[in-house]
Amino acid sequence: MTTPSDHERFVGLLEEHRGILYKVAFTYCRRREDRPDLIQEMTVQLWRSFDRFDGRAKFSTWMYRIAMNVAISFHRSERRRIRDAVPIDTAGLDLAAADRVMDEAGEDLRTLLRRMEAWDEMSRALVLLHLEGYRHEEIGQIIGVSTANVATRLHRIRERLQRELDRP
Amino acid sequence: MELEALKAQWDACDRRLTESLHLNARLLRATLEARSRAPLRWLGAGIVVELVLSALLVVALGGFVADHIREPRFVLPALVLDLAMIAMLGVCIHQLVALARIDFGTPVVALQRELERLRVLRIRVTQWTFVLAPLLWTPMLIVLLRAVRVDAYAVLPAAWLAGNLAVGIAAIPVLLWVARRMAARFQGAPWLQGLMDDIAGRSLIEARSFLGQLADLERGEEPRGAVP
Repeated sequence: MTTPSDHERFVGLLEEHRGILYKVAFTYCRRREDRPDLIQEMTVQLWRSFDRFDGRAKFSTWMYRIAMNVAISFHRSERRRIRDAVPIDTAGLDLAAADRVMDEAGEDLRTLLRRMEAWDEMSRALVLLHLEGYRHEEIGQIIGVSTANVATRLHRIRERLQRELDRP
Repeated sequence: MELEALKAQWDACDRRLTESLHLNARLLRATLEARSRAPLRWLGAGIVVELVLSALLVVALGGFVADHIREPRFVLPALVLDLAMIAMLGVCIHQLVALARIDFGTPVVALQRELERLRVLRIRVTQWTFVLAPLLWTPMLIVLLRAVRVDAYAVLPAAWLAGNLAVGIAAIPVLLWVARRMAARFQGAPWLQGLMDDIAGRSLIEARSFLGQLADLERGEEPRGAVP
């Protein structure tokens, strides 16, 4: 059961980590017009799960788990989904400014993000968390695989990326 | 392009993102109150509707069986329908229990596996519903007519009833063929396309492939069919 003080605490934490919502939505949802829908689903699910957040893990770690779980489910059901006919708000985030920041990102980063569009959901999660600076152990806790598996998979992603870019 | 080198570009981007994103507390509060926007909302609502309909039909068919207990020619088709509805009721309860256990704070691989297993179950229910529907049509007609005090065996020739059953059996491969051929034509209607994919078995193949990828990732093997 959440209380008014929980509500204020939640809003404060969400404000602090608001970038995660956008970054996960950007990683799994290339259509800009669908991102508000995804961000809203992530926000509602975070709030619904907030009473189960016990503080043992960092809020950002817990938030990544929920945001990624919602985003992967959204991504997988996207082609089966009937789009909402009415425009929806963006859970209080101004996304246009954030879209401009991503449009102006370095060429190499944009190349990587474009390539990631063709990748499977788990590889995207691994790369996003790696770029975010999480240690292999922390990535393993969010994804739910061993630290060794995270290292192996990231190594394969690096090799594959290098091979693709070296190809004339 | 090295993944490590991109971290610096990502960090710079991240700082600008945080500066550019502003949270509107009023809109956020409105979002948090909009519980209807929670993930899986339609799935849960759909299962509850199926559960209520199945329960009502189980009770109605049970009543019909009790009323005609001395007339096997009516009891038999009603029992067939009742068993199908009891099975549907069981599957609905199973799905609702699975849905209630879903915690989005669970590590990604474990939660996605649970969601995909639930999806496999839903696809199976859809397949069985469409396979059994043509076969259940004849018993349903007998029971429905009897409910309005008409004896189907008396008003319809036996050959007509047998023919309906035969057409029902023949309709199954035709339905599967149509589903396989037609799915691509419903690109403008994702729901219908999904239904055709479910019936034709394409959704099941895709769901099993994803479950395989998750298992491979857990084992530390190269996920099959995954890129990279």
